[in-house]
Amino acid sequence: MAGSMRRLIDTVAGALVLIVASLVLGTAHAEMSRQFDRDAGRYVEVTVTGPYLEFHTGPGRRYPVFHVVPRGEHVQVLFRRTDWFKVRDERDRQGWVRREQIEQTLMANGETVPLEDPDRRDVDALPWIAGAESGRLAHGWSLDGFVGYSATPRLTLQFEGVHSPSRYYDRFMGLAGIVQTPRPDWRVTPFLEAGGGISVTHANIGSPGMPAARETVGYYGAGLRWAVNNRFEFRIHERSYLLSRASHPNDPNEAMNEWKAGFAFYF
Amino acid sequence: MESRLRVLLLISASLLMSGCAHLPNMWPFHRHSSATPTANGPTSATDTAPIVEPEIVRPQIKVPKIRNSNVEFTVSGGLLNTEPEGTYFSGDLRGTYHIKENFFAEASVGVSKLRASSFVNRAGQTQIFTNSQRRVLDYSLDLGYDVLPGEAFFGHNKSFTTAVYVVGGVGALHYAGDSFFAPNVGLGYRLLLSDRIAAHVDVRDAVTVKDLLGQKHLANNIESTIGLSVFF
Repeated sequence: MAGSMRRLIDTVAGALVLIVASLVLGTAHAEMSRQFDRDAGRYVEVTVTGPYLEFHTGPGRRYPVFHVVPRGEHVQVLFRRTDWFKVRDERDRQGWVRREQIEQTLMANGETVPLEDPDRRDVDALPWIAGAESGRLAHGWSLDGFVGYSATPRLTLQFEGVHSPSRYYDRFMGLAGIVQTPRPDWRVTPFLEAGGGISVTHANIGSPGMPAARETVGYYGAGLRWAVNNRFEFRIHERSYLLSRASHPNDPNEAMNEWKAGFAFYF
Repeated sequence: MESRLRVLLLISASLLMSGCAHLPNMWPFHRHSSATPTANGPTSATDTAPIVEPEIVRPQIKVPKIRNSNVEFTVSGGLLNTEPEGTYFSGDLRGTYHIKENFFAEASVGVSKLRASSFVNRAGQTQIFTNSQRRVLDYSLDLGYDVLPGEAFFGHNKSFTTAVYVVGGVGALHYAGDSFFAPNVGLGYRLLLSDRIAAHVDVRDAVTVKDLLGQKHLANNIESTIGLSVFF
C-alpha cells in the first residue's frame, strides 16, 4: 500500500516538473520569437515618456489611429518618411507615429531621439536645396532644375540645367553660380545671383541647316524667395545673360533676359 | 638706564608682534591661508580625498541611425496618346522626393515611338518621319499633393495604405524634329504593397501648342501608365 502511494506521488511530482519546465521553456521560446527581441540593437529603441503614442495606419494625420502604446512601454523606430516614423511595439505591432510624439520619448541613454532636419536658417544644418523653375527666356519658354549647397544660410552654391525648347532650336545651358540671400530669416526675402556656364544650341525642324553652336555664358540676376516653411519655398526672379559667341566675330556678344518662377525644397 | 632701555625694547617688540598678528588678514596675497578650520570638519584637500580613487569608465552607447525613406523611384509603362498621331506604347522613369506629409516633388523622363507610317502635315507639306523623328522623348518637373489618403482592404485581414494624388508641373516633349514646351497635370493612385514597394496608376496630360496645316492649336498628350516603385 505504501509502495503504491509512493509511486503515485513520484508520478504526480514528475508530471508537475514536466509541466513547469514546458511552461518555462515555452515562455522563453515565445519571448525569443518576437521580432522586437530579434531586432534589439538594430534599431533605435525608445521609451514612451509622453502620455501615449498613437499608431496611424499610414504616414499622415488623415490615416486613422488603430493602436495606442501607453507611457513606459518600449518601441523600436524602424525608419522615417517625412515627419512620420514607422515604429514597432513590444508585441510586434507596427504603425506610423508623428514627429511630435517621437519627441516625447527617451532612448536608453536618457536622451531624446536625434532628429536632424534641414532648416534654411540653421548654420549647422548646411542643407542641400533642389528645385525646378519655368519661365520665359528670350522669345521662348525655359525649364530648369537645380541643386544647391548652402555653405552658410546667406550663401548658396548652385548648379543648374536650363532647357529652352522651341520649334527652331533647343538651347541647353549648364550653369554654376552663387546665390546671396541677405536676410535668410525673413519669410519673404530678396536674393542676388551671379554665375556662368556653357550654352549649347541644336537646330530643330524649323531651322534646317542651322549649325549647332557652343557658347560660354555669364549671368546675374535678382529675385524674391518666399519660405512657406523651413523646408519649402517658392521663388521668382529675373536674369540677364551675356553669351560669348566665337562663331560671330562681328557680333561676339549676345544678351538675353529671362524671368522665371518655381519651387525649391531643402533636403 | 639699562632696565628702562630693556623695558622700552620689550614694549616695542610686543607692539610689533601684535601688529604682525594682524598682517595676514591685511595682506591681500595670503587670504587663502587665513581660512580657519571650522567645527564642521576638516577642510584641507588631503582630508577629503578618498582613499581609493574609483575608476569610472562610461560606456559609449552606439545609437543606430534612423534611416530616412523619402526618395522613391518608379518604373512605369502604358499608352501615350499624341494628338493627332495616335496611341503608342510608352515607358517612364520617375524620381520622387517626399518633402512633407502630403507634398512631393517629381522629375520624370519618358520615351515612346510612333508607327513607321506616321507623318506630319505641317503648313501644307506632308512629311514622313525619319526613324529618329518617330521617337518621342519627354520629361517633366512636377509638384504633387496627396488629396485622398486612405486604405484598401483585401479580404478580412489584409489592408494596404493608399493615396490618391494630383500632380502638376512643366516639361518638354520632343518628337518629329520639334521640341514643345509642355505643362502637365495628372491624377494618380499609390498603393503601398510593403514599406518599400508601391504600385502606381497614373493618368497625365501634357498640353502642347502644335501647328497643323499652318494653324497653331492646343494638343493633348495623354499618357496612362501603371508602375512599380521602390522607396529608398
